[in-house]
Amino acid sequence: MAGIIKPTGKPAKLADGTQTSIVDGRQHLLLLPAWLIIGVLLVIPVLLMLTYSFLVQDFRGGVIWEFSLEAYDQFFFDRGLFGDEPPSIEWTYIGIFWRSFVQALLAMIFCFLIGFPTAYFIATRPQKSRAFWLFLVTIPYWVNLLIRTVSMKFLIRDNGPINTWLLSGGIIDEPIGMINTGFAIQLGLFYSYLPFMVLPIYASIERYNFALSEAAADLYSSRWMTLFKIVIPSVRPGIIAGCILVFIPSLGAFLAPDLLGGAKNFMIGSLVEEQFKGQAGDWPFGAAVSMILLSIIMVILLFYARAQNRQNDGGH
Amino acid sequence: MNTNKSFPSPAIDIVSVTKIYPHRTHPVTALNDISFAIKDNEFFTLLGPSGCGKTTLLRMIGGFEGITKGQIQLYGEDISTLQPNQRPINTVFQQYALFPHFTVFENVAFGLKRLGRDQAFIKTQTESMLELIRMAEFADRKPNQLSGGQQQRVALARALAPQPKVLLLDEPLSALDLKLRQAMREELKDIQKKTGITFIFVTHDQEEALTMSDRIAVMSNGEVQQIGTATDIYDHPVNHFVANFIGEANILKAKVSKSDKNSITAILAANGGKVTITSDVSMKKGQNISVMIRPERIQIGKISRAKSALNGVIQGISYLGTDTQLQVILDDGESIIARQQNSIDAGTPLNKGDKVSVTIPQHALRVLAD
Repeated sequence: MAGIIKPTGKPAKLADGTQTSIVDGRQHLLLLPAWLIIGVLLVIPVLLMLTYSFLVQDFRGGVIWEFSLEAYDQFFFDRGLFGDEPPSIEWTYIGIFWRSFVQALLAMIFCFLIGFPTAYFIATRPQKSRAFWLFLVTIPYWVNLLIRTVSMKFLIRDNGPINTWLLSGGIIDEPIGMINTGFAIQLGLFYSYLPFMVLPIYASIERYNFALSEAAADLYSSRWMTLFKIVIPSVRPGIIAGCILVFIPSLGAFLAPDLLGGAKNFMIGSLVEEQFKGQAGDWPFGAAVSMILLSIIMVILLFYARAQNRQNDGGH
Repeated sequence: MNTNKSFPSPAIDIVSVTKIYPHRTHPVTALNDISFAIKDNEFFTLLGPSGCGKTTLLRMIGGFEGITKGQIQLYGEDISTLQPNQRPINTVFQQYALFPHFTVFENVAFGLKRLGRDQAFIKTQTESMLELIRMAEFADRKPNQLSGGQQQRVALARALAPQPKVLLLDEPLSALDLKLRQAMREELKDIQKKTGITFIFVTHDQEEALTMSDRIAVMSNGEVQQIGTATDIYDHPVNHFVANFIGEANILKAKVSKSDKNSITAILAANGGKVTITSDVSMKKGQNISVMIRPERIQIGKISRAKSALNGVIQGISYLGTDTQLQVILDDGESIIARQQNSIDAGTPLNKGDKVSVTIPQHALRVLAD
């Protein structure tokens, strides 16, 4: 439209301008649902958590509307049993954070090591059978996560089918203690979040131009070299998406740690859950733990985004 | 490389190669027992319509497709079972397949790096390749910052850098626009001469094939129809397919009246005119044959009373710039295409509906096998 009016000169500019502003106004109106969703589902809940983390715990549950830094103080500092000693660093919660990070990182790595070949396999099947393989990957997810995690518990406990089979086969003399270990948590996290790794990587590999692999082979590249130098860099966005989608929920997971890890292997998710469960919960502390976790994740993502930008700029 | 200079083996020898794509109910024969040799330092073109098997054959030479039956030899050595990365053969892919996350320099250096050449050599060789394709100042660009023609040249440099014994080109010009395509033809031919590498070029574009190639193999339905120079193929097509696929052809029915050692005499079905055609293929008297003549060899003139003249009416006129194409319906209903050059002294222009006489020079007639 604008192009047609333009040659007439000055008035055209005016017409051009008005038209653009109308379009802009409508665009804002059209964006309203998106803004509403972001506001209701993201901004308000996070602000609520932020507010709660600065309030005082009411021992009958809920909060007292009074500003306090006590929740954060409790997380970082130890002031003795009665709160009258000079503050020293409180390692309990930092320890829980550290353990959670290590667990989530390991879950992410295992999911990648199994998920990448799986996704590659599916993406290289004939078009018709891909849907079938994807369906197979998602089948367990038709069942509730709690039930799946509990079944996992039954599988790996001391008198569960795995130990029974190994014992009867004479391979082991004593049941392997798998339940209530870091291994059990890993297994649970891996099982819970594997599709979040497989699906984005699959989407990337499906879009990957396999002529690039042929070109690499043509230029004397071995299969492994092609994989590391060409395929993985090309599908990197999918890998990163998968890693984030596995790492972040693993960090906050509480079902697998609770049911499979036992009391020794407390993770952030369970810590937060505990604060909001029942009458004894400490809402401000739970909110503070969540905010600290959120901040750490934001910092990690920010660093990642900056590294990404720098790399993109490098090419220009 | 090849010590036996007196009997140099061909660069590529294709020995009764068959390719069948297996399928439960409809196995597809892509190549049917083909054999030919491509000489050292030759610009060789595989020409044919899509689905003729030319790309399959190229991919088999490159190692991307298995061979169902037969053998492919490189300078006398069987390479049929080697993986693509074990063959000293490089490919320029149809959509270039440049590595998007690498710079132009890294793309060109890729093959040399995988071959484990030393750093200094990689640098000088890559730079000289970029020099060759006049892309030195673009060394640090990423492929998506280049135009189609530039990407094309980088793909060429990348394939040439490891100094392959044979270079395969899979319709490399098809994604470029006309002007660029014409310029690239010259450049490719030039680079082939400079580097002395055997080029095997796949195309469906007959003009491309005619202008660049030392020799052309015309393929159709998984078989080689004819191999020869551009002139051989255009001027002496062996059959209907080649005559029709390369340029335009008028095909007239005729009956053999006399067959000599070097020529045959035939009666044209259109007007009963007697023509003598050079041909070393002996024919039986009374046999029905097809004779071919190119549109630009036909002369159109005033209506003739002569008994042997081919008279007709102009049915259509297309102006093509350098020449004009005329469609003439002969008195017996056969249709003939003629081309006249639009030279300055072309005389009075002909119009649709004009009655004309078609003159066919005997020496321009060719006998076609069916």
